[in-house]
Amino acid sequence: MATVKFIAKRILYAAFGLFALSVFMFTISRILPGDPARMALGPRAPEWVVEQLREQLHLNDPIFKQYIIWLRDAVRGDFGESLYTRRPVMEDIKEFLPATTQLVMLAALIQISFGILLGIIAGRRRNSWIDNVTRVFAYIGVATPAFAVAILLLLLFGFVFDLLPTTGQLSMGMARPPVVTNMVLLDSLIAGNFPAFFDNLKHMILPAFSVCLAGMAQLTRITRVTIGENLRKEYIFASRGFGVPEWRIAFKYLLKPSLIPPVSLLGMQIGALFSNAFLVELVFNWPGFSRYGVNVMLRKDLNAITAVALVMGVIYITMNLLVDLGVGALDPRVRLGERNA
Amino acid sequence: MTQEHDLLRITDLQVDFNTFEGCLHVLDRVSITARMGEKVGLVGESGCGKSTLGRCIVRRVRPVAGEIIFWSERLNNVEDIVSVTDSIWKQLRKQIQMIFQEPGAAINPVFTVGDQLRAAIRFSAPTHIGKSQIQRRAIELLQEVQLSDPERIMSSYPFQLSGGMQQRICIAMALGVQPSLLIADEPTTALDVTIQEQILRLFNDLVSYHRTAVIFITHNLGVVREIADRVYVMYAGQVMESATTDELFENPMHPYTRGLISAVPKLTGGGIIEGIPGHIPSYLDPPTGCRFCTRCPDVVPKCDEVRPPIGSINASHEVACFLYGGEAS
Amino acid sequence: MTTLQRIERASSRRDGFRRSWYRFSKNRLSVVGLVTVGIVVLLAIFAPYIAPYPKDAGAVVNFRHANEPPNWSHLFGTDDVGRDVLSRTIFGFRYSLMMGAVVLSIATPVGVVLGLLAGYMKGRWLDSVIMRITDIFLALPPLIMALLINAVLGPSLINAMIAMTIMWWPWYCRLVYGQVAVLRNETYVLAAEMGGARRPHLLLKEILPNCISSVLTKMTLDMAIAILLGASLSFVGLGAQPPTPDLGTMVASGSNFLPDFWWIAIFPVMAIIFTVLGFNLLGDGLRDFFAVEEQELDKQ
Repeated sequence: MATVKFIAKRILYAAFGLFALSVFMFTISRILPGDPARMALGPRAPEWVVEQLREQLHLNDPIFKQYIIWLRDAVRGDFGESLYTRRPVMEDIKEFLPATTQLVMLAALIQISFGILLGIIAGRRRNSWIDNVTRVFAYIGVATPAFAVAILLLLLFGFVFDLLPTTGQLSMGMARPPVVTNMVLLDSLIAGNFPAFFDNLKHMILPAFSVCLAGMAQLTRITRVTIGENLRKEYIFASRGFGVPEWRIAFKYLLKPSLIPPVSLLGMQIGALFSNAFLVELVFNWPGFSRYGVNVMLRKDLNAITAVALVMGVIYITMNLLVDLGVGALDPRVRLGERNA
Repeated sequence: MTQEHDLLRITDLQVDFNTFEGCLHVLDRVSITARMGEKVGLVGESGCGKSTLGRCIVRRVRPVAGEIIFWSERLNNVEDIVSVTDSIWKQLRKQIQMIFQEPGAAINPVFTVGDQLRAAIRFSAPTHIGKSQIQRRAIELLQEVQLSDPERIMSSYPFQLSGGMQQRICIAMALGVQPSLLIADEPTTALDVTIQEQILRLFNDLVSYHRTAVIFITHNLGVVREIADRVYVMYAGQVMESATTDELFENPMHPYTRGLISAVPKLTGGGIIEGIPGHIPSYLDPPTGCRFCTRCPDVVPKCDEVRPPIGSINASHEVACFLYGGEAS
Repeated sequence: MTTLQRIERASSRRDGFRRSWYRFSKNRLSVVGLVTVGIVVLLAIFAPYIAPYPKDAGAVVNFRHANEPPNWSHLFGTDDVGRDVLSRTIFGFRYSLMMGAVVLSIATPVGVVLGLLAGYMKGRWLDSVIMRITDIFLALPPLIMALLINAVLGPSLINAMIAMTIMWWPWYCRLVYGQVAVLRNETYVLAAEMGGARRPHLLLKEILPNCISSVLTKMTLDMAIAILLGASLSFVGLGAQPPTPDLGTMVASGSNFLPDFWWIAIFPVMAIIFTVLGFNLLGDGLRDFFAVEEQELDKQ
């Protein structure tokens, strides 16, 4: 019963976040610019044309009604036309979002597996050489902005060693597999085109590492700390005293309580991954959503900006919901309502 | 019949802590023994080193000198806990269980009570036992510590239970391992007064029933009197006096013990300092002799220079004080 | 351990400062952080006197010396229009520090005051209004929202700072709000309350001073994040505009000349890492010093 209440509460909180996001975005796209119709048409358009568009965009209706209409359109995926690409924003999203999604997913995979693994190793062997190396790595990783990692990796691998491709998502002359999901990695698998699959994967390595390095460092640090703290706890000492095998302590009694802080950190980190993609896609010329986002932002393309932020916000809030539920699964105190996540 | 059957014999144990101010000499040549099935009280003011002593026995603190000889029934051998290899310690450690002051501390917060209780039973058993048998034993143990509705308790998480219940579970887990020695470090101090009494009585009954040897660490003389067969009185990292409980309370000899006992009626509980004027000496640079000399009403000149040897008053009473003979050696 | 605590308390009265320094400097990395931050701050303040070519900070053109690799007269080389990269990097510290300092010096007091007020008015309408607004901001992804606000306001250094500030104050508000909730049940606060102290007195004299250490720690760590964020905004072109010698802007324009003229981008990158690392180390040192364990575990 308490668990149901917990899940309902989390979902409600996420819904509240979505509502907040929509109000925020509505304010920015419809209220701040003054007259969106005039903005869309430019200063030289005759007044009657502008008035017509105003009517068409429901700008003469009360604010509340405008919001409802705006929200209805947004839910339908109708964000209007981009001033930058001159086509419906939804088309742009469909084209650019998949590339970023596959990049961020690979980055998240690398970040979570390596980050937690390194943290466990370092936390269990405090002050060993591997712990010291990990700490140096963690400190530098946290301090290095994603675009800096990208530039350093670009120089190192792209030009000094010439091992990995540094631009785009497929090599020159490599045909793009037929579009199904628009994620090249998936599409090439579906088409059974393995050369394209591996070529695409190779192109992703450097961007993915640049996107996730800071988060990985953060995750390593916090895992190291919580593993170290829990190792000193009386309950671990007691489990040892009961004769519980060391591997069982490590993977069960030590790991579960130690994972709670790193997992709660993941919510913030998913947001950070997408944010970092904004910077990294520019450096590696990755034809993704973030690069599109930066371009429309620099051009003040309001419809597209709203759509980009809205999509990112929805992803962020959904991921945070999943993470919150994950923390609840790990920590009965959160799930059963002794304390809030 | 004497030393062969000692379960635990600690000799000249010395512990130092390094800090900003320098080296703290926390334990100074402490020697205590515990026989099989014997309930030993370790009493002294907070900060006198009694908890540190308990932690040394389970290897959480490494002494700089001295030995801790433990007779292992399973290995049928004596081992020095201070110097044994890790692999032997692994076999020894099940035989020494510990109960902590903070009741929740020994229970993992993210697993159910049942999970941990079953693990304690399963992994401490000398031979493999089946699931249903483990379950039965777990319920038995919970009933032993007088927890009603054991099934519900087993599916609960520690935070859903009160401090008293948690401490009962800790006792159940510790006894479930069937140790030959149980170290209880102020197990009732963190509980409500009414519950303290219940837990104490329960604990006492159970260890008597299981014939488990106990080292009971406390600052509370009343508790010691109720539980212990024999008592060691510690002050500032030194053992001052030891005797059977009745003997100690009837005939306290060391000036510190006398001060301690006479302080009790005035203030129950930990406020002993009020009864004896002065302060505990600094552990940084304590007197080389008896550490109580700075507060002792019967101090003689050599007290702060020479450590009084432990002298036997009779078979069951020893005291480290120049008042009762013992020239400087 | 009670003995240790007692001794610690007794001697802290004796030599408070030396003891504090001992505790702080026991962790070598904290000292490294302090020194790093010190160097960066000094370089930023005295940039016009330290930089070998202070004029190169502006829109100067010197094509005869364009794209020179690092050499004795230009230790970090020169950029595409012949300006000294070392001089521009030293000036770059100014913009990075300024961005962080401006954002935090506005966001922190706003957040702290609102947090205190909400905690003070706990259970009344003002509390709910403040905390609901805070919740709205905390539910949104910070960098993307900052980018968005920045984009709507238009690319410039000032707008980047405004965007960051808007997204920053809620964190302090929640931190202080949480602290007030804990502190108001502390014995000394209850004692003061029973002694007849008024609520403003309680807040300002009993509770606020005890929030300072965690706010200070968070500020130091946030300084690192703010510098990162500021550099990122500039890097994508929304923050400081050329020819401002902002580190992020310099990396962005320098990255066009990779790999041949690597020094134009790499040295500003190193400068960013150096600065952020310094604040991180110092902040971690402070946190251990104040022993605020919950923060690491908190979602913030």
